[in-house]
Amino acid sequence: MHTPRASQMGVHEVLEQIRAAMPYISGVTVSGGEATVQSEFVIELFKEIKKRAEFSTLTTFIDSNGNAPQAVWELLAPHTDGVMLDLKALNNESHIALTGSSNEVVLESIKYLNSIDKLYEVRLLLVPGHNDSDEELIKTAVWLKGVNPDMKIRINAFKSHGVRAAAREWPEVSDADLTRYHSRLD
Amino acid sequence: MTSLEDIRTIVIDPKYTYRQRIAALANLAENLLDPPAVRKQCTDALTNRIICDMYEGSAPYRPRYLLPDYKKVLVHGSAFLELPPAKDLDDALAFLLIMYSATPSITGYPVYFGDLDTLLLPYVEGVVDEDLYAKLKRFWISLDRMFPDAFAHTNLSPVYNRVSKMILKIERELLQVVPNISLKVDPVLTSDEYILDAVKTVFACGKPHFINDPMMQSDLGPEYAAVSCYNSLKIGGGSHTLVRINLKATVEAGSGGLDQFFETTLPYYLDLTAELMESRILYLVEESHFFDSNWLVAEGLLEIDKFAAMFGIFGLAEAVNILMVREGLEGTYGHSIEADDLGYRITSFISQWVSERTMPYCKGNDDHAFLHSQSGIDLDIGVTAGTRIPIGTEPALISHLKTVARHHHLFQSGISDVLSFDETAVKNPQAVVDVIRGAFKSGMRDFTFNLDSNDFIRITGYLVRKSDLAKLPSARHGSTYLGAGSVADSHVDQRIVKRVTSAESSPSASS
Repeated sequence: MHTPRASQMGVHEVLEQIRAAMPYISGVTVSGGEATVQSEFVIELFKEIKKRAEFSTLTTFIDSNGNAPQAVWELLAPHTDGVMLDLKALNNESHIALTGSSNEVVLESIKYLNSIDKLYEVRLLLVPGHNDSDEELIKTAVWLKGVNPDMKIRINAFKSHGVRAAAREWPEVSDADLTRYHSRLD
Repeated sequence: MTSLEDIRTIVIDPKYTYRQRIAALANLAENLLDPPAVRKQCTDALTNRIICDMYEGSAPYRPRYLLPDYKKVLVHGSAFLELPPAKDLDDALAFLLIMYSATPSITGYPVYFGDLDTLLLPYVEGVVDEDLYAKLKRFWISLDRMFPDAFAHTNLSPVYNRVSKMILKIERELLQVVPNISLKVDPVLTSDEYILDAVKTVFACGKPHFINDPMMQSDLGPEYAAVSCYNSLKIGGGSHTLVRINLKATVEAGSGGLDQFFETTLPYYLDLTAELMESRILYLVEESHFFDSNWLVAEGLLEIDKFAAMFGIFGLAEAVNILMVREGLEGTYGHSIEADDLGYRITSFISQWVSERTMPYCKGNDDHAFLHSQSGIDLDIGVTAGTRIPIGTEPALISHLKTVARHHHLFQSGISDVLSFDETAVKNPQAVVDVIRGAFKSGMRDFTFNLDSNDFIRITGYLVRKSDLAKLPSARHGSTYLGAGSVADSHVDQRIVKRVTSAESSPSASS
């Protein structure tokens, strides 16, 4: 239990909550924390959703930081309709500066999920002054379109509330920044 | 009763604009007259605010809400206004602004601007997008500057069209308080693309409000609109008056439990509410002779037979919670099945009672008042609007919908609920579209989404800008003053909102 809003639940308790929400939803997306860290639970949950007629209208999606090996994706894929994947930075040094680890696994995840047609979109978390230079934006767009010319890219503009202490000092994204991001990535 | 000091106060108070000062003075003048006669117990209930006349004034000389038939006047022209039928878009836009300026209202400003997409569609053929944008934007700015009142309301039809698309785009650019907007949603006719466009507009400015079109049509007929603070009424008609009963105060007026409440206390105050309503209708129609003298009636743009009156309720949550305690039962409204069931028992009882009480000059609803879940005024302290769950105690979205949805079918003339986004919804606008469709499937009549991250804050049903509240004591929109009272007293700014974790957009959607 690392966060105050976390609690332990079994698959059937989650299914009960999904059942109550059925009139108002068209799919289930698991996020986190990092959902792939609990891949066994996600597989069990998605299996149940996919096999029950009452949930036949629902899609199953994963919102992930991409830091999972191919072996995990291979287990999740048969029960998952798509993955929304975060790319914190294409440049490995920026990535290490932002997250503390290399982006090698994330880039492999993007390529693998795209190859099996399970990559729904890539989300770029852009932090002014950290990973949003024109050069890096254009390189990122070129790399992603190289993987798939029709790649769906979403911009997450950094906001400082609700983040860990170190990130609270980062500047927020302005409207002008956002306009520039769109023009470089399109 | 008005005193000379009251008048002097209005004359010298620096906070008013010229028009706001005139309206305040007119209100004082009206209140020099005795109010329409009622029995002493009715006056007492009014004095104790168990029932409430919404401070409409002592001498009703215009209906509270009126919805002129703008479509008709654009096609036929007006003798009173000396205007021929509109021939093109410029004609229509100018005609409408003139109409609004000549429409009587309880606030001094029209509560209804028409279903503007449907009204303008016949005039936009041959107008290129660039021109339509420029003309419509100028018109939109005029609405906000000429009729600065958050109750002034337009509706959009269920079918996505050139005009509605342009209106939503302009809304996202201008971020104005006026006009308030309701979107009529049909499960088949209204496309996901249209609702998605509307949801993105909600993200920007808190508008539009969403309306269950088939449900409204089955209660009001095809020609209806939502006006002011989400009052759904007939076009070409309206509501003579809005009188409301404070259910919390009603419970507190008795000391017993459920039996006494349902057998004695509630029927007694419902009867006094109806009496107050009846006296005001009779004054309006028979003493002030509005319907014999107004040009809108003479030209067939309003018909008395399309009018009814609105029987409002509020404070259901507190009434339920007090009665639960008196009965020694656990649970509160919005958080317990027993409490929710009691709430529904109360609204069903009132609905039945109102449907059995005939009301004069209410042919618009077969000689009965429309039941209305009243969304509150700035003076309501410690009493929750209509059938809503108290601000700050709202449960998660799904439980919230389950508590409130069951009441909606009872309130023909509107029951606005305010739902807050959770973070998944904000990340994924399509999820909001699913919630909207699901809410209507589960029997919701109309509702609004509230999003804490933009400049707009929804007070009872109308919007004010936080940046305008910061400029008080002086404000261009009269409704901002009411909003300030609500923020100070009722903590509407503390409505539970699932915190927004990120601001997202996609490159393709921005172009």
